[in-house]
Amino acid sequence: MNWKRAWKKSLTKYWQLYLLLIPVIAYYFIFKYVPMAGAQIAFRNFKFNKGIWGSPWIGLKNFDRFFSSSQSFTMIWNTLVIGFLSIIFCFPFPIILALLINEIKNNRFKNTIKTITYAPHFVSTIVVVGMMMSMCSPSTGIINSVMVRLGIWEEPLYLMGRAKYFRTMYIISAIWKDCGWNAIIFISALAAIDVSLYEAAEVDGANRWQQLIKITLPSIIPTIVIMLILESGKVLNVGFEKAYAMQNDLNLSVSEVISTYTYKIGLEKMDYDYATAIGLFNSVVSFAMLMLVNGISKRVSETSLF
Amino acid sequence: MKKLVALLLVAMMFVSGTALAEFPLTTEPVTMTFLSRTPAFFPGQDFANVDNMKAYEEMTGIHVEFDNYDPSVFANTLAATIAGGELPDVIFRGNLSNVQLYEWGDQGFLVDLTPYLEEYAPNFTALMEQYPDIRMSITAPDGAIYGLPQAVIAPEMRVPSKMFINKNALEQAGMEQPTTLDDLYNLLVAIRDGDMNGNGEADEVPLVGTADTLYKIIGGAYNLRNRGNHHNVVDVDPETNELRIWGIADEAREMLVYLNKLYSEKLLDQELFTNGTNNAGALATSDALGIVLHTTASMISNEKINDYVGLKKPLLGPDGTGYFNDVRSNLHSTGNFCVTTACENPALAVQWVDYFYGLEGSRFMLVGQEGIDWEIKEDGKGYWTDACAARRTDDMSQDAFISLFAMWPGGRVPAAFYSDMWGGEYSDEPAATAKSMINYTIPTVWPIFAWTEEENEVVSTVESDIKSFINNFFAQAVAGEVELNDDTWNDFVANVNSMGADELLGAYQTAVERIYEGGAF
Amino acid sequence: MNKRVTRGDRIFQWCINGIAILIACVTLYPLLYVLAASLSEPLKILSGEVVLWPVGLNVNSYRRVFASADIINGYKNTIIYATSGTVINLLLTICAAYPLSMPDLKGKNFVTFLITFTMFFSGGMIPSYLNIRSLGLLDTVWSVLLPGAINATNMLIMRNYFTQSIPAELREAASIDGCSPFRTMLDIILPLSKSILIVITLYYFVGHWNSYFDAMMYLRKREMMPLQVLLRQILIMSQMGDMAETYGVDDANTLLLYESLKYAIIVISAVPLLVIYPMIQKFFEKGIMMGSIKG
Repeated sequence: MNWKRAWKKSLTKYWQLYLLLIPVIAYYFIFKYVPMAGAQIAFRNFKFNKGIWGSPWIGLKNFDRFFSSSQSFTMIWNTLVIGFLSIIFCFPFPIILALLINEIKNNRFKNTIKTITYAPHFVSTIVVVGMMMSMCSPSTGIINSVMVRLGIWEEPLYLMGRAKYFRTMYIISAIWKDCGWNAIIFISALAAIDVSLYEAAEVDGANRWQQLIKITLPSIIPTIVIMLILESGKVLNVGFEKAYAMQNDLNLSVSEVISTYTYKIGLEKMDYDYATAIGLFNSVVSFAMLMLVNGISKRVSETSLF
Repeated sequence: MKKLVALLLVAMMFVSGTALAEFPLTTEPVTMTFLSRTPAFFPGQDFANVDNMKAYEEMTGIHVEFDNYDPSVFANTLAATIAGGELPDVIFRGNLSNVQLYEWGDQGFLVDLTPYLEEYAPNFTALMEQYPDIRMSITAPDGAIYGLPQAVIAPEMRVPSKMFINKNALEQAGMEQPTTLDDLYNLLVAIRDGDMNGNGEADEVPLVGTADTLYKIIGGAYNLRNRGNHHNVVDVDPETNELRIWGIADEAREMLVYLNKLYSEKLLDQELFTNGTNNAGALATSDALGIVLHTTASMISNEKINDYVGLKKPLLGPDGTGYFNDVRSNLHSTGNFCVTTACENPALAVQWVDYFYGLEGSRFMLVGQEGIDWEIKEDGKGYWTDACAARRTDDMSQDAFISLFAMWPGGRVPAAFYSDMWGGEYSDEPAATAKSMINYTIPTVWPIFAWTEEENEVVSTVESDIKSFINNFFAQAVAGEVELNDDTWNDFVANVNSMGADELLGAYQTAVERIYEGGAF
Repeated sequence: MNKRVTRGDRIFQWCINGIAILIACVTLYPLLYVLAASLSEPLKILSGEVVLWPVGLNVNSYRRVFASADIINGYKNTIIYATSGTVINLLLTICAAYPLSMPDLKGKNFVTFLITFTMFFSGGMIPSYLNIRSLGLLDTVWSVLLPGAINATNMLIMRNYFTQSIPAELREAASIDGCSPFRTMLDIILPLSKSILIVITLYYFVGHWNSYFDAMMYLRKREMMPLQVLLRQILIMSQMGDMAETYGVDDANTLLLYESLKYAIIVISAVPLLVIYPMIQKFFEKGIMMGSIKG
C-alpha cells in the first residue's frame, strides 16, 4: 500500500497544483482526445452514412496498400534523408548563432543582429521558394551570375531544377529562414546563466574562449538536449508546403516525400481513410523516434521529457 | 463553317426557347440552401451579391441562401457537413469527382436526378441527346446521375493546349506555319540564331511552356495520348487497338530523342521544368519570345499580343500523320450541381439549373444580363456595355470585375459553354486557333470515366504513381540527365510494368467495356 | 567595470563582431530583395532586373492591398485574436508546466505523456470540425482561440526551464517558510522565469499572427476574418493560374501585379512582428512582473 500513501502525501501537499492541472486536462480531453477517436478510420472503410463508429473494419488493408505502392519506399527514404539532414545541419546553427550573439557586448548591435536574423521567419514559405527560383535562375539569377563571374562555377547551374541540388537548396533555405528564430530559445537560456560563474573563471585566468567552452556551453546543454528530443520527433514531418513548391518533374525522384504523396493521393481524391492511415504511420514512427531519443537521453544525460 | 455554327446556334436557341420552363418557377416563396465553393481566384466572393444571381431570384421566385466556402477548405467542410448529417439542399460549383458522386449517391446523400431530367430539364436533356459523351461521363456505374456537369460545346473551350508563335520569327524563317517536326526544329534554330529583337544579344528564348503541354503538343505527332484530355496515362495502341500505357510505347522514346535534341541545342527554355510560362510575359515585352505554349497567351501584354499567331494545324510526325490530342469531351468537370436528399423539392432545383444549359441562360449565368451587362454590337460580337465597363476600377482584375455580375470566373459552373463569347479563350487569336484545331483532333475522345469502387482503388493509386514516374523519367531524358539507350529505356519500361501496369490496364478494360457497352473504344 | 581586457579577448571580440556582421549581411540580402521587389514594377522582377534596389519604383501593390477596406478590420481582428489568444495560452501553459515540473508530484509523468502524445496523434480534420461544431463554437471567436490553447512543445520547453534553471533549494526554502506551492509559483518562480516567459509569449503571439487555417475552417463571417485570411485571398485572387483549369479571364497587367503583390503582403504582415519581440521584452521586464513582485 505504499503507492496509496505516496499519492495521499502528494495530494495533500500539492492539492493546489492538481487544481491547476484540471483545466489543462479538461482542455486536452475535449479538444484533443475526443476528436482523436477519428483516427480509427485508418482501420475502417470509411462510409459517410455509417460514420466513424459504424464503418466496416478492414484491418490493415490501408497500410498494406501504402506499403505495396511502388513509391512508398522511395518517399519514406526521401523523407528520412531530408529529416536527418535537417537535424544534422539545421539544428546546430541556431546554437552557434545564439553563442555568437551572446558574446556581443554592445547591446544595440546585439539587438540589431537578433532582429535581422529572426526576421526571415516571417517570410512565407511560398515566397521563400519564389525568391530562390528567381535568385538561382541560370539565366537571370544573381547567384549564378556572381559565381560565374568570380570563376567559381564554370557555367550557370540549374539549382532549382536538377535533382542533385534539391536537398542542398532545401537545407540552406531552411537555415536562412529559421536559424535566428530557433536561436531565440537558446539566447534566453544563455541569459539565465549565473554571472558569478564567469567572475570566478576570470579570477582563475580563463580567457573568453575558455569561458565559452567551459561555462557557457555546458550550462545550456539541458536546453539543447530537450530541443533535440523534440526535434527528433519531427524527422518525418518534412513540410508539405515547401517540398511541394520546390517539386518539379526533374527532381521528383528525391523531392517526393510522404506529405506531398499523401496530398496527391489522399486529399485530392477525398480518400479519407487512406490518408488517415498514412498519417497514422507517420505519427507512430515519429512518436517512436521521440521515445527512443528521449530514452537514450535519460540514460546518458539525465535530461528527458518524462 | 462559321455560318453553319451560327445556324446551329439559332436552331438551338429556338429549341431551348420553346422547351424553356415558364418563369417564375414557383409562386410560393421557396428558400433553398446552396453549399458552394467560391472560385479559386476569388475566394472571398459571396454569390448572394452577384448581380445575376439577385436577378435570377426575382425571375424564378426561389430564394437561394448561399453558404460560400473558400476552395482550400471546401472539400473538408463539405465532407464534415455530410459526415455530420447536416445537408444543404444543393452542392453548388463543387466539382465533385465521379467517385465522390457515386459514393455519396450510393450512400443516400445525393438524389438520383434521372427521373427529373426528362421532364424538368429540357435543355440539359437535349444536350445529352446531342452529345452522348456527356451522358457517358456523368452516369454512375449503377446507372444514376448524381450531379450535373459543366458542359463545353464551344470548340474554344475544348482544346486547352495551344502553341502561339511569334510572327516575326516565322517571317525570319520564311515560313507560313510549321507543318512537321522538322519544320519546328528549323524554326526554333532560326529563332535561336537570328537576332529577332535586333539588340545584338542572344537573349531570345525559342520555346517557353510547361513540360506537360510540350509532351501533349509534340506527342500528337507520334500518336501518343490519343484518347484526349481526361486520360493522362492510358490510351489505345493505334496498330493493335489494345489499351496501352503510352509513356512506354516505342514512339514515346522517339519523342524523347527529339525533345532531348531540342533541349541540348538550347532550343527549349533551359528552365523549362521550373519556369513554365512564368517568364513569357517579360520575354514578349523585349521581343525575345519565340514560341509559347499556353491556353490563351494571356500573360502577353496587349501591345504585343498581336505579334503571336496560333498553330492552326497539327505538326506531322515521322510517319506523316499528326493530331491535336489535348481535346476535351463535351464536358469540362463533373459534379457542379448536386441535389441532396435533404432537398424537399428536387424537381424545382433541377428547373432552377436547367436554364443555364440553354444558350440564353448560359450567357445569363456566365457573362450576365443582356442589355445591362453586355450587348451584341453591329459587328456581331459581344461587348460589355459602357455602364458595365465603367464599374471596373484600375486595380480590379478582369475576374474580379466579372464576378460583380456573373459567374464565369473560376469555372466549374453548372452551365454549358457555347461558342462566340468574348474574353479569355474567346479572344480573337485563341478562338480562331481553337476553331481550326478542332478539325484536326484525334478521332476518339474518351469521356471522364465513372469508376466503380474497385477500379478506383487501383486507378487512384497506381495511375498517379505511374504518371509521376513517367514524368520524372521524361524530364530526365529531355534534360539529358539520363542518356537514352536500350539499357536505360528497357529499365524504365520494366519499372513501369512492375508498378502495377497490368492492374491499371485491367481496370481500364472493365471500365471501357462497361461504358462503351462492349463496342469499339 | 574593473575587468582587465586582454589582447586575446579583444581579438576574440573582433572576430565575433566580424562574423556577426557577415551573418547579418547574408540574412539581410533576401529581406532587402523582398522590400525592393514589393516596390518594383512587376515586369522587372520577372526579368531579373531587380537585384537590390527597386526598379521602376511604385507603390501600386500596397495601394492594391489597402484599397480593400477589410484590411484595417483584419489587422484589428488579428491583434485581438493574437493578444487574447496569447493570454489564454500563457495561463494554461503555466497551469500545466509548473505542476508538471514538481519532481515529486504523483502522476506527472502520466500527464506529460498524455500531452506529448497529442503532438503526434490527432483525429484529423473532419472529427475536429465536428467537435468544434458540437461544442457550438462555430463562427465564434472561441473557435480560433481554443483549439490551440496549449502548444505541447511550448509547454515542455517551459516545464524544462522550471526544472533546470530554478534551484530546488529555492522551492524548498519557500515551502519551509510556509509558502503554499501556488504562492511560490506566483511570487518566486514566475519572476525568475522572465526569459522563458518572453520566448513563449513570442512563440504564441507569432503563431496566432500567422495562423489562418482555423479561421478559414471555423469562421464564416467576413468581418471576423483575421489579416492573414484576407491577405491570402488577395494573393490568390491576383495569382496567375493555368487558364485551362480555372477559366480565369484575365489580362496581362493585373496578372503581373501578383509578382510585386506577394512581396508587399510579406512586408505588410511581417513589419508589426519585427517590433513585437522588444515590446514583449519590455512588457515583462518593466510592467507586469514589477507589479506581481511588489503586490
